[in-house]
Amino acid sequence: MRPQKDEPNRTRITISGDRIAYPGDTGTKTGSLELVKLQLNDVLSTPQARFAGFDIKDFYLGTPLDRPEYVRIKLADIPQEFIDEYDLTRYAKDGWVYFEITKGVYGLKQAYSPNVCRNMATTNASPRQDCGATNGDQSPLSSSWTTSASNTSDNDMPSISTLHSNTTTR
Amino acid sequence: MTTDWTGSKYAGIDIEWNYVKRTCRISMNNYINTLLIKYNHPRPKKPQHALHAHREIAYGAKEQLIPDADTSPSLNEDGVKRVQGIVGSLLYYARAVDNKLLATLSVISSQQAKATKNTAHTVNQLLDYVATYPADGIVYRASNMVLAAHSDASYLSETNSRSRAGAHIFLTEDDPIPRQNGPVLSLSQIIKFVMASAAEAELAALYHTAREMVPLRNALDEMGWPQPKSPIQTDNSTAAGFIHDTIVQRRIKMIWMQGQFRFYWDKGSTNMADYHIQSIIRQPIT
Repeated sequence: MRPQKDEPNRTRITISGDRIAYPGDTGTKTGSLELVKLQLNDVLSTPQARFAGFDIKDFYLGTPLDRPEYVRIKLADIPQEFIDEYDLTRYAKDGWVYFEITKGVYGLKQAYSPNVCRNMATTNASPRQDCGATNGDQSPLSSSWTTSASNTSDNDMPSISTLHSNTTTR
Repeated sequence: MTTDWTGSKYAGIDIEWNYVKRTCRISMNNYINTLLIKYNHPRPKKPQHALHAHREIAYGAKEQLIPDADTSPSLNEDGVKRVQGIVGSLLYYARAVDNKLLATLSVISSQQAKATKNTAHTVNQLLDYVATYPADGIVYRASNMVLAAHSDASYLSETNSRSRAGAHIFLTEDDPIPRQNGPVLSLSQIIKFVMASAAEAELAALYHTAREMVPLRNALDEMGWPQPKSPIQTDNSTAAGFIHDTIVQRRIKMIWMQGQFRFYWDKGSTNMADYHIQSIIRQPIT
């Protein structure tokens, strides 16, 4: 329950990142305080330059992963509403449902990795109207996406991003 | 996505832009208040204008000795954790917007693992100071984006015969003696090795300063601001003499960094790094 939020009732699925063996780089490239200050001086010292800030909400959620991850959830732990909506009994085996994770979810340790960020920048390369970006080729700022609720995969395994998308938008 | 066209907040830092005067002031307005509440530190009854206790100077003494080792009682585990938490929080604040705190924090952090009652006293005075000035900040002005620095050192001012190096690195014009600007990076660190003289400590400080400037020079180059030789000021004429070969000394690595830097001497009263080398070895609680 988050009474202060627009959507007070939320269910979020978290992946246990400590149980995932990801062979790539899971570090996050960050800017230093010195770089921030250089940037401020850069704006001041460039005639007519102005400074603006953009805060991207849920930046890493829904980001295509460079390799899928797999989890299983006890069927008994899933609300009947979801089981019915996605026909999860069809995928259940020995009381468990197996999911393929194809997009960023809370807890994934590679969600912030350079590979995933690169995927985001390239797969969401459409120019964004509301921030005035005219070229969305490089900047993650231009990324704009909506997670499709109908992307059950071809390999008979439900996608966790599908379920997640719906749980947060209800 | 939320959009802030005023650009008044960035990475937790509050920014006041003045595009007419081409200046900006950075501060962290609620950071100190939140910190004081978190650590349940009451506001001082009288304003505290000093970061740390004054260290008595023995005028006329043939040699300056640092105080004896701290013999006050050790803090318990909770007390040590409190000191460590406050140092961690203030260190970020100091690096971001209030570089005046760096020298004091550096001394406290060197004691925090074995914090004593004296350490807690020093921390409390520091909290009183930041409570008195909770919205201090740094002002930047427009410049030609030439990276420059002031470097300074205090010889044998720390325990175990160590010296302290300080630096004030800023962006300015490529003038013979560059004009001041707010620091993009300030250093206040204990020099690892025992220095043999004040001049050697100053040379070590110049080396530390130059080393920190190299990645900033590269970043500025990539941002489209090609860098001339970065001017670095020292207030020690012997160190300046070593660098410029007007005083012959065994060559050390730093001297060969002249390709990227321009070292010059100027009097100590204009040296902004002087602030970061003040010794604040604790005084006994009276």
